[in-house]
Amino acid sequence: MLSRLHTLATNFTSMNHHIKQISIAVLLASMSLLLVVPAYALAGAASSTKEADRAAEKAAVQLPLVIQKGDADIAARITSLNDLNTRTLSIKNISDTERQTLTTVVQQNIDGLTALKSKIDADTDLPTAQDDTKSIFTTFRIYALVIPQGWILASTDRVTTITDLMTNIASQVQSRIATEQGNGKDVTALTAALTDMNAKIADAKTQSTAAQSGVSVLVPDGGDKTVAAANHTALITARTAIKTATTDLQAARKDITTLIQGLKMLDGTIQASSTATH
Amino acid sequence: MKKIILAILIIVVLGLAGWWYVSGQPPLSSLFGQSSNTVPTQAPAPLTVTSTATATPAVPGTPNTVTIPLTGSSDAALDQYTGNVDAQMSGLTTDNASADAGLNAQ
Repeated sequence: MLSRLHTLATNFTSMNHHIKQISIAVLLASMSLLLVVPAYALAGAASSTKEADRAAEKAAVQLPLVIQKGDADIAARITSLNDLNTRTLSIKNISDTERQTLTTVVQQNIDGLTALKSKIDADTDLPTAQDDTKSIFTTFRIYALVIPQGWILASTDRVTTITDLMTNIASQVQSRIATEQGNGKDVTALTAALTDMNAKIADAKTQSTAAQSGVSVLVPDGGDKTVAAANHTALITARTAIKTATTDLQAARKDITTLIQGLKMLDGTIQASSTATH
Repeated sequence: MKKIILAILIIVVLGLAGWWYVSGQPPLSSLFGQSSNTVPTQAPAPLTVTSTATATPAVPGTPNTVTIPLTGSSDAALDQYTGNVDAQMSGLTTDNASADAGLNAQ
């Protein structure tokens, strides 16, 4: 019994010694932490400050460049809009109301871009300037919609003017062909050319009408990607129609040359050999 | 003496006639207050092209201002109509190029 008590006492003493050692170790570790953590925090803060400084320097360099790029993008768009506006004023095959609507849309975009330029020029921090320059593309949709839409409508107007002119020529030529036919002249080739010309004029009108109806209803997408994609598809389709109309008109123009030269030969104004040089 | 005076008179008359012809004066009938009795010649129908519709190089904003002529089928008239067509075809090329520029700039 005594020996067991002695052993227990010895163990207790040993355990007490260990506890003291552990306590000292914990104390030392805590003191170390107290010394290390602030130092580490201080180093981290210094690092953050350096990064912030670098970011500030970078922003200071980038800000004027972003503003400069924004100004250039706006200037290019305003120039394009002014060109379109000039053309819009001379469009003749639409009503005054439709012309006014087109002009108003163009002017509103010019005014909006001008105001945006003032804001960008006054921006003092990079993120704001970046957001503002981004809105040149996302808010206004100048090249995505306004410019191609306006010029396609101008093209349809031009096609209408040309088909009207050509229709008048066809009418006059028809009269001349009838006269020559009455005089016993062979007008087979001329009649064929006139038939082709009339067909080309008719198709040009059809294509132009399709293009006009396809783009005149388009509205800004307002950030809706589905609407943006639909607008783009409609513009491309209309542009293709105008290209076809243009090809038709070029063919009809060749027919006009054939007809006029043929009539001149029939009435003896020119000799057959002279047509080869025309 | 009479012959000399007559010669001078003829020279003066011829000189006046020449001056009248070269300077494009009004018809003699109007000078003398008489109505013209001449047969009108067949001329090409006048074109009613307004101001700026010309075959100038294609530039953005080339206006579309041709007014369609109504009558006339002479060779000269047809040539003039064709000139109008060519001017507008040039304008169409400009319009198309501007539309393409817009689409390609997206």
